[in-house]
Amino acid sequence: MIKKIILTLLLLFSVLNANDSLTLKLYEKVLTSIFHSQSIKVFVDSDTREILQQSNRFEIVDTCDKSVVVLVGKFSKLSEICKDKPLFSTDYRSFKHTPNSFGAYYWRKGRPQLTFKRRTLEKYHLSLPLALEKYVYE
Amino acid sequence: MYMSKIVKSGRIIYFFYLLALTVLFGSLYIYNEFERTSQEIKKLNLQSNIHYIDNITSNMAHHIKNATPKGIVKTLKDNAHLREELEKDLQLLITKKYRYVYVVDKNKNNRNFRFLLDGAKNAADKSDFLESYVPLNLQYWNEVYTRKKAVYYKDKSLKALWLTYLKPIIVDNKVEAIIAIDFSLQEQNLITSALKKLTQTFILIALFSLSVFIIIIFFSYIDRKRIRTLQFQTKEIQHFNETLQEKVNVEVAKNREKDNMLLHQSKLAQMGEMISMIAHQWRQPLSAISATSSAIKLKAQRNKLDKEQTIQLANKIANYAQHLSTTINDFREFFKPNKEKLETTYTNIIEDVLKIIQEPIQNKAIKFTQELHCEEKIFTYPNEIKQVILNLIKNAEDVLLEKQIQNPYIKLKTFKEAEYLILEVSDNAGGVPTEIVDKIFEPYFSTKTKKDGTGLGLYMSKTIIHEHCKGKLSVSNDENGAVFRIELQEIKRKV
Repeated sequence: MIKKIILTLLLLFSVLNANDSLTLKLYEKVLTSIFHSQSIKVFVDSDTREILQQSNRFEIVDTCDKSVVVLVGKFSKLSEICKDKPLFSTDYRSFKHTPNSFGAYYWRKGRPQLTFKRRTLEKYHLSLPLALEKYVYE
Repeated sequence: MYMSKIVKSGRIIYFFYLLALTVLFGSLYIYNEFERTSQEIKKLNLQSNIHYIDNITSNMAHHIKNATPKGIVKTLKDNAHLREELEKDLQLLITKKYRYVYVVDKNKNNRNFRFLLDGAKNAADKSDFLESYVPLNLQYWNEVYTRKKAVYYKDKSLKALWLTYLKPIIVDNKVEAIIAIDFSLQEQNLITSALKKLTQTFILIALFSLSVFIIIIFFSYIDRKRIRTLQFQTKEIQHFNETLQEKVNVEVAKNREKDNMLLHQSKLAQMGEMISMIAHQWRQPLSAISATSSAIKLKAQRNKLDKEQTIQLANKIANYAQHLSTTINDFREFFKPNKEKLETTYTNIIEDVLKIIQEPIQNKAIKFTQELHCEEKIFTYPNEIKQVILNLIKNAEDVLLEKQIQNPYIKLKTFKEAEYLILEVSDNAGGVPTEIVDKIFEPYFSTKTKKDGTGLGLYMSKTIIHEHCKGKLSVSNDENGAVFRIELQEIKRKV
């Protein structure tokens, strides 16, 4: 029984790690191509912090005013300064209902989803690489 | 009985070959059949699931189509309540086996997919109406639009335990939306896993069979080799047996030749002895003749020989000459090669022998005793028996003289023992030493010096008694000396 539990935990851990790794790679690819920088100052919530800490492409800042982009799940608890920054969400509804949110990465039906808002991208003068154009939501 | 014959002939090995081949090919056949059947089971199980889902989604597609007469997107956009109702219907399908049930369509503007209905129970995973959706393995989703047929696929990148089934909702021969269901393959995997275990078992059985096959072949090979060696040896023995008679004949002929040679040698020796004995027998009468003739001569010179004396002396010489003639006749009779079997008794034979040998032996101060208690008839070669007895007596005489035995004697004894007639020649010379007792009947074995013995006497005696007379000659020692024993069979007479 104990062996089964340990095995299940290891499996879960490895799957989660695999998802984290996939998520990190996506963040690196998307944000570096949008912000054209090798090291991006980012303000994150606790969930995302763990993932981004594993990369040297991101500099995690304590306050939103030092950041270039804010990467969180829910925007509701963010300060007004934070809300003025380009927002990238890990939740579809936050992305949809927050005007300054330019993109989101979230899971639907067990599949990862990436989406962008054209209007917000234009507001912050952000341009997407051609490969990501198909994910733009008008 | 038949099996026993097969086993003995070595053909049982073919049975083992057949058994081994049957086991091997049987295992391979069973394994192949099982593999085919397990694939069939997996396929049938999947098809059964697909068939079931197809029925559900067909009903659902029909239901949605009927509920949205103005087109799915337009109707649902205008009627949130209907949307809610249909989503509840989708929700009813969700079980442990069917995880996600939702309806999407392809946005005509950007060709992306978007959610129209979502049966998700969990609010966090529930999509919004017209929410953009980029599925993995997009090609299958597009395929539904182009082929207008249901498609299912397994997401290989996620090593998924889930299979996605895509059912088109067709309106006016156009795909208006897709009903997507993710269903669990756990059941299928359990079957696959069980079949895999069975396959492994069959592989083990096949390997075991193969091992048995190899072992049987190996031992069969060894056994075959052994049988071949055995057959070769048997053939050699058969060949040897076939040529054995020929070899025996050759050897018998050689032995006969050898025996003839030995017999010739023995006869020469006996002849020498005979001459010696004749000379001894003749010496006394010849001396008497010589003395008588000298007396005649002397008396004649002195003119004292009258007629009466002359006749007396002439008669004396004639008697001596007659004695010489009788002696010669006795010897000639004794050594005459008589090849005919005659009816006689031991007493007759001994009498003839003693005529020749008694006097010379007694002259050497050797006592002769006889205990003759057998008058039964024997049917044999008397002269050959005489030669044997003469030889035994001469041997006894030689050893008595050689050992200078006090009060030497030679005893002849006959008696009957069961159906055998026994003649024993014994002496008091101390007997045959035990270390040579087994060798004394061998040819060329002699305890005498070369000059005195040929080493053939006892060998020929044994040959005569055993081979010619079908009797037995043996030796033993009693308290005084050697006892040579001749056993011959009594004549059986019909009453």
